[in-house]
Amino acid sequence: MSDQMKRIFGIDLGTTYTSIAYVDEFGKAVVVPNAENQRVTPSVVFFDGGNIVVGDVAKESSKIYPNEVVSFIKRSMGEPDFLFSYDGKSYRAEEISSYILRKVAQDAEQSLGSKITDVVITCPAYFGINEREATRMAGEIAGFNVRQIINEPTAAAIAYGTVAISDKRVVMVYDLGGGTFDITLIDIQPDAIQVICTGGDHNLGGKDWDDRIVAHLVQEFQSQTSSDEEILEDPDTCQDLQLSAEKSKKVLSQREKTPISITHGGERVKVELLRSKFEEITSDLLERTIHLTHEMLEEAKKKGYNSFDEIILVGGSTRMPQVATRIQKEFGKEPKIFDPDEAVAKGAAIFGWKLSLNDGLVRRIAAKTNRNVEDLQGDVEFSAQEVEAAAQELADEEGYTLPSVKSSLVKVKDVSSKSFGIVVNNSQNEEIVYSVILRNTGVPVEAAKRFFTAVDDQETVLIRIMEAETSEKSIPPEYAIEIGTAVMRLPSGLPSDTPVDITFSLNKEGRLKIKAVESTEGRQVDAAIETAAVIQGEELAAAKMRSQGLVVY
Amino acid sequence: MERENFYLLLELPVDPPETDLHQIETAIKKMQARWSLFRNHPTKAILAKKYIGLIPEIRRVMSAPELRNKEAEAALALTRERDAKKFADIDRHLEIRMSKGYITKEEIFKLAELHGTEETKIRNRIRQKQKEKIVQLDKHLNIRASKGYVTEEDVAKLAKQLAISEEVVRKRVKVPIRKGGGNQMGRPKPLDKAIEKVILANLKVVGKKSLYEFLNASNGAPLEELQAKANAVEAHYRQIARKDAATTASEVLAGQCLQIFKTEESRQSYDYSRARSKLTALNADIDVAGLDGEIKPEYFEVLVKAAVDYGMDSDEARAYIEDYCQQKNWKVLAPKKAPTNLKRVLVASLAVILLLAAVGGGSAWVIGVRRAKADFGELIARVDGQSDLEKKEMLLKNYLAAHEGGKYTPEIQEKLLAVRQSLEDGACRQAVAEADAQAEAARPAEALARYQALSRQYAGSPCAATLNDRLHAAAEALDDEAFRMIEAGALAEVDQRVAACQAYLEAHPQGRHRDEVRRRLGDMSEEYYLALEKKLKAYREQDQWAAAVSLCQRFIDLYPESPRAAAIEGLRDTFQRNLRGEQILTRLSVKAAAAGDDLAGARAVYADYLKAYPSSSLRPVIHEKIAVLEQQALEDKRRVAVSALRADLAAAGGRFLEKQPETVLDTRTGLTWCLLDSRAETGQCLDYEAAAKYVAGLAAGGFSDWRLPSADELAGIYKKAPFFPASGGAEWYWTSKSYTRYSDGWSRVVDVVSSRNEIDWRVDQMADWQCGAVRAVRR
Repeated sequence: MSDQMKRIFGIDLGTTYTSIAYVDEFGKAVVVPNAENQRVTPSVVFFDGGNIVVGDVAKESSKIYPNEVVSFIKRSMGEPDFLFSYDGKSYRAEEISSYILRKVAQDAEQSLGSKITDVVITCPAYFGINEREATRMAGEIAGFNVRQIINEPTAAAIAYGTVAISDKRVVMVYDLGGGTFDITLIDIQPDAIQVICTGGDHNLGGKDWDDRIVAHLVQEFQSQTSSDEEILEDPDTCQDLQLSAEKSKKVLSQREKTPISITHGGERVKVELLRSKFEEITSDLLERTIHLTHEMLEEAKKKGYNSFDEIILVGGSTRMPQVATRIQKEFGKEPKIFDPDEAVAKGAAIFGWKLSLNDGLVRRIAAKTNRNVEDLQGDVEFSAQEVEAAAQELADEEGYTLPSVKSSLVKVKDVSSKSFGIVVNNSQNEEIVYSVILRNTGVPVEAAKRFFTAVDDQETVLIRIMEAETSEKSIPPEYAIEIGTAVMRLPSGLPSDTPVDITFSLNKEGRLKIKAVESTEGRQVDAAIETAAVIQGEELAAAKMRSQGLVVY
Repeated sequence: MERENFYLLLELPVDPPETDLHQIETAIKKMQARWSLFRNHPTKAILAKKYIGLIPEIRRVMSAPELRNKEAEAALALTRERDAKKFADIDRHLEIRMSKGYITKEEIFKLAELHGTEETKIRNRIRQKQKEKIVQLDKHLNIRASKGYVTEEDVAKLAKQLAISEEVVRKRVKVPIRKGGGNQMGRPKPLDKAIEKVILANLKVVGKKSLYEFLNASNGAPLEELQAKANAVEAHYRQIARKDAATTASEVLAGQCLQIFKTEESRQSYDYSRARSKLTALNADIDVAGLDGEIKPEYFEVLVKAAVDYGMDSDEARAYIEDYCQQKNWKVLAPKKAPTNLKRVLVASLAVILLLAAVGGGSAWVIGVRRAKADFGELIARVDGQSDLEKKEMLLKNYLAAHEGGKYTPEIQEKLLAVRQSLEDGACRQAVAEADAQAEAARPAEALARYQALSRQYAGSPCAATLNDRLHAAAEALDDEAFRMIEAGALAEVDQRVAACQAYLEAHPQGRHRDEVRRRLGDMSEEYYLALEKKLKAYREQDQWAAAVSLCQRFIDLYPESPRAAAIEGLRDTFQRNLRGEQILTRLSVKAAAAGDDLAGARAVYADYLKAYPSSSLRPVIHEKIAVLEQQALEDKRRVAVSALRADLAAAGGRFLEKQPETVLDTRTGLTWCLLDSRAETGQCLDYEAAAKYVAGLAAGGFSDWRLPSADELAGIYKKAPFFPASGGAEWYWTSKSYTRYSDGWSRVVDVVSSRNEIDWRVDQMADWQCGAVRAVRR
């Protein structure tokens, strides 16, 4: 690897497990094992005095120190009022997530002997603005240059597309992870990967299956000991049961039944959990994923995609046999389980590699054509010859094969998983949210809409920027969440119905900017979205400082 | 949905309320940390998420003094309300005493004494309870009738349990009563407990009591409605971007609805679990009752009754409570006399209180006495001097109003009463005279009504006796008139005569001709029965079950003692069953029709019903329907196969010609083949023996000489293009060549030709018991 080429790592920051990957010198994506020699690291953080312990040790410690261990932190990303307290200090979800990132990166540095600076982090396609921003912040707090946040199903499709496909296919990615569910239809072509539609629920994942087992175990304990004690009130028992539940879920993916023992308050109860029982008590969850899938397919039909060629299953939870069975029954196609634990991290790594090759290409073309690198950033199109020549040069220099460099030129086009709009008053003078960008629109996208002032001599326009999950143009405000506001001052003396043009631009990472222009004087407000839902300002600075001083094990 | 009280939620002191902002913020921080810790708790996660989401609102309310004060007041009220609930003693004691089915005067007196209240209040309460009993009876009956009938056992149990006669219970039953067999249906399998808890926890978050309420549907809503609503609700919540706790919980619930309301069977499981889970709500009650380690018999009965209110039968409830007590190691005690000491103490203290009150009020009287006497004398003089009764009344009334509670009050009241009576008497007489005129004008019904109204109005007046006489005379006149009508109609149809008698008996329950009319009615029973039989025959032929049921019911009501009654009752039950069956079938066929061309879907409608009600009397009929649908499906398939084959054959370049319908001549070999193979024809596979029979019985194209082809013949249609198209899904065909082979015992082996598709064919051997297909041939 030359000095000029920066290696960009891909990190799959999961609800239950996290992994990191990079593209090796043969152009192949590989996962880097952690210091405990595991390819995936449990996303569990243990506050141990002055130390932060992440991974298996933390997970094991949760039984003994349940109140000092944080799990499933991804579910609280973007939640403004989640605060974990330890030793008089409060930690937000972003900060806790940053420790997980540090751990996997640090172990990878150790194993590879080089420093990690730039990363691509994945998040569920279904994450909204706040959750995405929080994910980026986690990376920044950990001290990385976060090159891009990409969607997990897209990453999986990249990995799948570069490994298993050479022709044109429409692929449905069913991604059931530890805490989230994403369902995505992707058009994979030799030179482009294009997301058609996406849907899902970021509150539905393997953990919900675990929780059902826990509930069942509590029930069994109560009936066998003839008590109605709420044994989950005891944090130790609660943690213990959660770990047992996860373990038995994994066993049940292989076997028809599994024995579980529950120890609480000196009593010990043995339970035999049958796979059929497990399936019974979780069937509604599976049913919800099917419903979400159908909904997404309906949306895809509107875009002219009436069928798909194959289904790939990613995410650890798709190992449960009932998932594949149910999908086959529903769609009449045998789904392929594709590298469920690592596909996302590998895809992110490939994407990172592509970014860095692209950097190299841009630099070379700049040198050849005597232009500034800055001028070439963005979406400037190069001529085929320019690219061909630069690619050849790059391949020679970095020791990659030309085809592999060329394959990195695959275009990746994603869609927005949410709709974005502002609060306006309709003709009946009711407040509604008018969507300027509808979900499942390809990104990057810029859309403008003209609105009008309500009264004569209006002094200000309050722009409330909203995120929604429907494909409707206008919806009631209670269906949407407010992700930011901007205030525009107007010159005095304007009549009512003065036009104000509002432009939304959503980049390919799903970051949103808005611009409002009042036409009379041409006044303008720009607003990047800033909300209390994400760590910022002093708090962010403090978290970064704190992170630098900490050692993560 | 009511939101939590923040004082209670933050566990802050309420009386006096905490107002120190610092303390409040500390409490918020503390709870925030606790809730964040529970954010991913297996069972409390959604609630924790809800509370976390409330934090900004909590801060807003608790930092504004006015809002905070309101919150504190509400908290205090809530705490008090909770306390108040603990003291509903009277009702509970009443319930205990009434649990034997009646209550004595003695008991009422004692209860009134014990609680220091009036007997009338207790009586009112009892009346209320009896009304509730009927309401309860209906509720239980509804639950029990949900299986489509109730058993004799149910009736007996309910009568015993609610301490009412079986007669009353029977009257309120609206479905057939069956003899026993209550268990033959079997109980639905309850939902998994863990699932039940998940549902309950999430319902709590959204503030709903059941999935039905969650879907805004009635408990009895048809399955299709529930499914439609579940789908709509699921779609609705999925669209809400604000994934707060309520939305998350709603999504979980919608998922459960989709699953539970998928089939009648799973829905019944849910209903059953719901009934069961309510029983566990009793646990707290049982805990209270067993505080001292034993359950008093009275309490036990009350607990049983409470359980029964939740829809369990009492045996089950008893078993449940006994089990529960046994688990807790509590004894259920035998009855014992309650101590009466408390009562005595109460009586004594009441007496003391009265005595004290009398002494305290004494000294103020004396001064007023003389003035009162003078006023009284004056009044009497004025009243006596007045001749107009109304003015007299006025004077007395005024005096009473001015001298409330005076010494002469009783005397004046007496006088006032006398004056009023004279007033009333006069008015009454006048009214009677008017009514008399009406009676004479030969309008007896109107006169009677007038007399009745008057007698109500002047119930206590001296004129009441006169009125009573008139009333009697008028009623008798009317009675005679009505009877004359019956006699006049003696030649009418029997049911008209019966109706006339019935109308008479209803209108004149005390009529003079009652016995005569009854006798006549009785005499008509056989005649009526014959007419009824005739009608029933007609109804039966036209399947008019509802009319038949009501006809039978009418006979039973009319002639309960008739020897025919039992037979008719039997008939009625049969008709009722038919009626219900008809309704079910109509419902099912509407549902099946809704499936349209989807025959499998239509079949599933019937199959689902049979699965939920395996011992339904409709079983044979439904099986017939299913068979018809299956036959239809088969024929559809056959039609499709035929047309597909014809298309394929047409493409085979003229080698194969359909000479006779559904027979195909191979112009190359001169053999005639049956267009459809046995698989496409029957939808089933055949072993070798059955295959031979099939060929022998085949009459396609009007030919009867079909036979099994030889392997060569069969291969001939596949060997060279253009091929005979593959169809019907059969993978291989029997040939005529079979031989016996000894390998693992003697067995017959047959040559078969397999043709996965037109071009891929080969000859194999199969044992004769294997299941295959036939392509019949003839020369």
